Amino acid sequence: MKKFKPLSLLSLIFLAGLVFLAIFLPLLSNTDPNTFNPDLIGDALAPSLTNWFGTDDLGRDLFIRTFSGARISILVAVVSVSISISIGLILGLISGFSSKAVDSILMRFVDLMMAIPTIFLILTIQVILTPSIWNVMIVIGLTSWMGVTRIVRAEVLSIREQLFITAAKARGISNTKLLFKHILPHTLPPVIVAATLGMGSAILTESVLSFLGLGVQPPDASWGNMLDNSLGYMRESPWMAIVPGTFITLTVLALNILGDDCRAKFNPKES
Amino acid sequence: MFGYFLKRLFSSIPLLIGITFISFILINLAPGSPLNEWADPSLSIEDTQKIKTNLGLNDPVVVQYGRWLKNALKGDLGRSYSYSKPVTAMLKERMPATLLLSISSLILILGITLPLGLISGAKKDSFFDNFVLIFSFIGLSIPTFWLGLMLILGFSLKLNILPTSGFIDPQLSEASLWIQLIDISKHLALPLLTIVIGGLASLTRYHRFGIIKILSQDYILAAKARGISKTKLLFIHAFKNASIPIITILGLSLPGLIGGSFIIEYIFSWPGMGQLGIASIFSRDYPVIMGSIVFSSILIILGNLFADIAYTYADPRIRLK
Repeated sequence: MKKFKPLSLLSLIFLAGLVFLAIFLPLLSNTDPNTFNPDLIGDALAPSLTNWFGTDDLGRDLFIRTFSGARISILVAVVSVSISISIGLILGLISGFSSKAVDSILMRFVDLMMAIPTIFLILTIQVILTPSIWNVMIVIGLTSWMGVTRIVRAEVLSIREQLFITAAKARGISNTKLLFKHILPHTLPPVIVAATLGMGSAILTESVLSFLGLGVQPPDASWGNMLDNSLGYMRESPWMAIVPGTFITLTVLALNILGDDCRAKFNPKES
Repeated sequence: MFGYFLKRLFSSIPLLIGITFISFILINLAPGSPLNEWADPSLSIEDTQKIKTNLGLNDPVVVQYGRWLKNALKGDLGRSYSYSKPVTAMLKERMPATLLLSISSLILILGITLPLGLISGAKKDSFFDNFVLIFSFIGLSIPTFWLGLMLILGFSLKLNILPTSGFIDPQLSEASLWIQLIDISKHLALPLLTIVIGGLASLTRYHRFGIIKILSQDYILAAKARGISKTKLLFIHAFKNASIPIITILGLSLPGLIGGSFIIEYIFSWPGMGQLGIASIFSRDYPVIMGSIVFSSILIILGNLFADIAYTYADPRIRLK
């Protein structure tokens, strides 16, 4: 795994730059990402020195819109992963720490949720609810906690049998303290890995939803709805489709590389 | 073996009931009624109420689910709101296209993953291995629907060698079977390529890792010491053992593959169940949505079942448990 070190650094720099530009570019720039340019309607400009990523069919600058869309993606990634990690941690701890009956009920529920084609469920819920960015985050969070639950449960089950837990028990430590001070911290490394990878898949799901018109609504920019918007102009203005898709791929790629490197660090045996 | 199969088959029934129950409740808890989409706007409120009572839409959701389940067990999934055709007939119509796409993509994915992972794992850290790893990382990260769009952009719009969407050119309905088959495979090429690239990535990574792990085992060392050739070692000893986890991973990745191919079918206007499912979601055609969920869940459960059976077949140690 040594060879991935420079790639990890590169990923980190890319993500940091993305976050930085996503926060400051829309604030500092005097071009509004959503106001269109009446002179350029219907005539998208190819990337040039004045418009680095070109403009879209309404004459809006794609460079600004890309980073305005990055805000959405980052927000979706962070919020939905926080939701799924919280649920996964709580259920995983309960499942690993409580009686066999509770454990097997919870695990059957996890099996069930995993057998549903989630993207289908997410789409259905999004059509039913009014499409909004908050709904997107909640729905993604509520449908992606199963993997974390399984990981945390497996960790708890193996840690429970370790000698230091027996020692702690012998010292008469309460169950709550045992759980939160001794077991929880040990489950965190794999959870961090799952969170990093989960952010990548949350960004992918958001882009699918917005692409289908069920996520972020125009005129607000998101990478997914920019792609949706590009559909009618693929032949004449392919950059409208290439730019947002490249950013989705690079962002998810960076998160996957980081997640994989973390995993290698936490389990040196596996690498 | 047969007993195990039956036991697993029976235990998947409550799973299927659970899936449909959750989906049904979620769909029907929604505010607003599908009637608002489908009914003639000039209908009076009393008439709307009457239609709702006739369709059973005024009953509690659990009662509605009970009725749906009772009919579903008899093989009746209801009628589509938008086409007023039986849902089962609609799904049956769409099945060949979906099966063609999914089976050919599964075969291709396995056919490429197994040798690729084997070589990559056997030549760990080589240039080829790094190349495969980077390719699989990109494959994992690329949004499949965008990959589809880029393939359309390249092969259809720029190079103009493959059709953008559809199943067969409608002008060819009179043509000979051969010409029709060639046209269908031309239409199949891009959606197939999209799904294969997306599905290849994670499987290849797992397979490579499996090969590396097995090659470090003692029995491989023992076989090497006995002077068994490297090819024989790789193909006979490592390959079979490493293919076991692949079967499981494949079973586990089925929901993703099926869900992903829905979007792909939609983008390429491939007349399969996925396209029907997405269209029915947009038109809030509840019976068709439920039918699609049932169908894809059955596919997923069956896939997992076969994966488990293949697993016990490949590894006799598991059979004893």
